[in-house]
Amino acid sequence: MAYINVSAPTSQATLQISTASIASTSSGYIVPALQDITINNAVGTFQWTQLDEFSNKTVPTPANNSIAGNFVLDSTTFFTGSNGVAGLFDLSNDATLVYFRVYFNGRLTGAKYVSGQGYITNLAPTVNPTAPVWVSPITLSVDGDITASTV
Amino acid sequence: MRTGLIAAIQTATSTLTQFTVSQELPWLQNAQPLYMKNMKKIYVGATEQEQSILFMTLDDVDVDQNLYTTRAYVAVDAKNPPSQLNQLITNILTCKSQTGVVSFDEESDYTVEQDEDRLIYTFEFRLTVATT
Repeated sequence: MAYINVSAPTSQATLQISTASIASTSSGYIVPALQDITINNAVGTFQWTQLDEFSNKTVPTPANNSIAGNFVLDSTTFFTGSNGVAGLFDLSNDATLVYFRVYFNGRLTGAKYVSGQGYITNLAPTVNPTAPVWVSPITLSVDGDITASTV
Repeated sequence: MRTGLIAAIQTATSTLTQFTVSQELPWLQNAQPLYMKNMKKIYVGATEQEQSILFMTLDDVDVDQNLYTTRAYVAVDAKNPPSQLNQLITNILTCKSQTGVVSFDEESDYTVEQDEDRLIYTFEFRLTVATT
């Protein structure tokens, strides 16, 4: 067994965003202060019944892929942008195609990640008096496949 | 927080001539805190700080919150409480929002203890500050 532990400083789960194809771990920027992240690879299915079978028959249909998470807003990456890539708000508001990598356990050589391209949706910054720091959900609606790779 | 709280209490009690505010910590003299010896004098203790996580993140840049707690003490004669005591309590409790500390949550309350012929009022102020 080789569990993926993300608690060490060099093995944290991270989300990398760029507006060009990501060639290295330093392309674009890392979304800081991620609270959680979820990779959704929901393969669709079509099911039917037939009289000569006691169980449903199933065939796959195209998957709905997305990356979802929550983060604490950082003014630079949310509004200004970094490393030649616009801020998350502008990327969402302008419906810009973004490239992403989600690193499972850091960005050192040998680390696992999934990558793809898509559109940022579901930004919903919120704040309240008992937690006076802005936080927001974020979803990357993936255009096409999610590909697993190694750094 | 302590300095700001002392200033706020001085302002809030400036019209209450029966009470004074000390700059000293309520240290012990002959095993007795100063506020027991000097009744109707308000002493403000040292500030305590407790840090906890407001938002936990995956990349160790957690957003923390600091809880600052400071207590103020005043003792009065239980047989002849000062006529301005109730006003003092009301005025001191409002000092939670006058300390000059930028906080998102301010709380204050007080307890009363009896010790022989004295009533000891202990005011507690709790300010919560987000650290980013």
